[in-house]
Amino acid sequence: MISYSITHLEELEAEAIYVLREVFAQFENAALLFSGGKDSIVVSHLARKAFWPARIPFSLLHIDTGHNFPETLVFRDAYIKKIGAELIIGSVQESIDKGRVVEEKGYNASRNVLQTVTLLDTIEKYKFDCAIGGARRDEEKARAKERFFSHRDEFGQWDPKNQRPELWNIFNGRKHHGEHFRVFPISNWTEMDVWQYIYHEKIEIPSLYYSHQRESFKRDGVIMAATDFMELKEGEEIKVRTLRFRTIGDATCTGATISKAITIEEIIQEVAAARTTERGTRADDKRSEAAMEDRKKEGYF
Amino acid sequence: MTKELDNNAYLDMELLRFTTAGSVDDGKSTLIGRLLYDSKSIFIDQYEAIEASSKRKGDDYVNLALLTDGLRAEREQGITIDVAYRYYATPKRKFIIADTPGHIQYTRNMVTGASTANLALILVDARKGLLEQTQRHTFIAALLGIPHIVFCINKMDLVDYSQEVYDRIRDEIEGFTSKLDVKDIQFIPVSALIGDNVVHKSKK
Ligand SMILES: Nc1nc2c(ncn2[C@@H]2O[C@H](COP(=O)(O)OP(=O)(O)O)[C@@H](O)[C@H]2O)c(=O)[nH]1
Ligand SMILES: [Mg+2]
Repeated sequence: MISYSITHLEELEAEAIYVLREVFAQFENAALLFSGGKDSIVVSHLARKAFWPARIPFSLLHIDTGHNFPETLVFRDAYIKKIGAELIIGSVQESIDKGRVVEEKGYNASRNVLQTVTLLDTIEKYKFDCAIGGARRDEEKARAKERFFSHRDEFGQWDPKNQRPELWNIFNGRKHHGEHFRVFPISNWTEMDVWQYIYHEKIEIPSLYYSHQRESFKRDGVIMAATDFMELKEGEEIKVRTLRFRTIGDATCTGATISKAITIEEIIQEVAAARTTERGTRADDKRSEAAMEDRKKEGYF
Repeated sequence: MTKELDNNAYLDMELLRFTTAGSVDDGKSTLIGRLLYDSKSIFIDQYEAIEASSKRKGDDYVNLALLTDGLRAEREQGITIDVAYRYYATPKRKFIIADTPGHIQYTRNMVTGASTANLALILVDARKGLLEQTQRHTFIAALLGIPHIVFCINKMDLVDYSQEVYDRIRDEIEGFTSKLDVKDIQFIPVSALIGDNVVHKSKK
């Protein structure tokens, strides 16, 4: 017998591709949630591999808070064009204008929580029965609990205390009318796996991930980009820093790290030496101990 | 994946998936927390978060089980309800850990976590020995075809690290497992709470 072994990254890739094909087999109208961040880029890349030479059989769905870094949007549009996918945008601004949600007030106002309503409205509008996401279990303690195929009731809610069994590679996508699934192909990947994969597959990512000069200020120990969306408090002062982003979300809740890394190799070295998680710079998780779980229950990503 | 990078050490790593099992309160989550903590796989912000939350609950030590018990209900009740996945790596291997619940009504969640594992760590409380739930989980692990089972006789600190207690439990388990079809069964005495014989070899 020929001995055959695969490395852990190959195993993770195979797992993700299997899950993506399973989505195509089990659902009628799936969307791939695309934020322009590294995880959703990796999932899109895997989807391309899963169905190559055909195009990705899912629409890409961007929930747009309107508080973007311009670099993300430039990247998004170029990427969509390159892979020939259809882009659907769910706009938080539109949800606000329609009165579906109310804008938060104050210094730490963010549209991050509001996204959930926009996401669920968009899923309903386009009758998506599945939304594929790039969430990873190593990101956060509530995410560490989620299945690959995560069931959502007709209100888009997740019930973490009553999840379905999910044995081996058998994924159960059965649902009632109006319910949908969230599917996470890279559940088992770590931040390091994602970077290694980006490196080995030569995947393009937005420039925000590389070191650059940017006007920024410090709030609660976190370095935030100075943007039109955020008001400065007294005593907060804008300085130009050499930094990069470890994760990209809404500009109002994504912190930066001081860094000189300008290549993926250098980023990988930084990730290897990091003593905090990537979400350690995310203001949205710091709101309470169960902030992520609460948001997820309501239908967040 | 591209050929030229085959020499990269990260790419050469193998993946091992393992699961915890055993009865409620035998120390599964604590053991995983200890394993992550002592192998320095915990990030500062994660540690600070569980430190603060232990303090809030009035514990005089940092409850490492909170690393995997991530749901609100789990923290409030001090139990594991659903399987949590954790990741760490040594220079040679990547690990995916599934920390599973011990309660009988959550057995389906235990099976979910165990189904993809190649190795099961079955925890046994040294004061209680082989319980019904230990037997059930061992049986399930065998049914799922998990090739390697390690019985961790835990809470050795509460029985004065007694060789006699350890031997007695080991005999009891061997009697039970002789009827099961498992390729490889091992035994290790540990104290998950104190960290004895988990990552660092015991001096006791
Ligand atoms: N004395 C002692 N207590 C332990 C040990 N391991 C776990 N415990 C305690 O046993 C209780 C249950 O632990 P937990 O990890 O939640 O058990 P699980 O239900 O199997 O996950 C907690 O109060 C732990 O602090 C140990 O080695 N020694
Ligand atoms: Mg537990």
